Amino acid sequence: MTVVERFLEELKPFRAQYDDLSRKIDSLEEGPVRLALKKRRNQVEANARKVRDRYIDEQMASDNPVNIPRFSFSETKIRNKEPGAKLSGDTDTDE
Amino acid sequence: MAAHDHQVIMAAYLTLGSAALTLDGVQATLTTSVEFDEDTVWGDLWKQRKISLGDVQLTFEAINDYTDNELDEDLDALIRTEIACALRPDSGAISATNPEYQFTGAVSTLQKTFQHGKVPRVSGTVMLTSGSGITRDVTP
Repeated sequence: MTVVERFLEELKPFRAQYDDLSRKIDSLEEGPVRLALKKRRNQVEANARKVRDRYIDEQMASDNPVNIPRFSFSETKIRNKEPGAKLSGDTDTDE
Repeated sequence: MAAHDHQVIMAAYLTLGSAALTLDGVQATLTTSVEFDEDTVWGDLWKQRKISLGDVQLTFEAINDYTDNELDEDLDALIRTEIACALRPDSGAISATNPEYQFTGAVSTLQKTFQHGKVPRVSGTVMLTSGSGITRDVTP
């Protein structure tokens, strides 16, 4: 297994947790519970970012360093939108 | 004389966790700083300093959106939690000429203004929380 494959494998549980929280958030009416789940979802993405940071640190010390792929669980909902376009939905997180 | 290729910021990209400010943002300022600890002793004729701790801080301002499930709610969901932050000059694809700056932080201030006759504004500060500092990423 390559370093990148190992990284992507390690990312999977975070992604699954993020998507699971997104589904729950979508199914909830507005309110404090939905807000709390959004906080948890933010923390999940932040924890996944730390995993990537760790891999980047490891690669800096490696004899054969490779680039670790970038990811963003939450960005795709605005990708390719024109400025001024309105967002829709909150779970468009395809990578 | 070399030609310049400066650009005007027209559609920058900013996400703070799942709060996307790209379509509501007005300005963002990313500050990377380094502390120095003075190491000057008797006999030195010039100051000597040791490079010490680095820090990252982001300030932002946006037009607030109170639509359900939009910016205002997403920003409120940042309070007291860590977030993955990403900022780049243009919302188009990341490239060598459109680098994305990434760090893990948390909101330290969030200010909302309610001024008569004005669109509501929201501004805030995000401070670094992760020991990994800031990443300048050009990985597509």
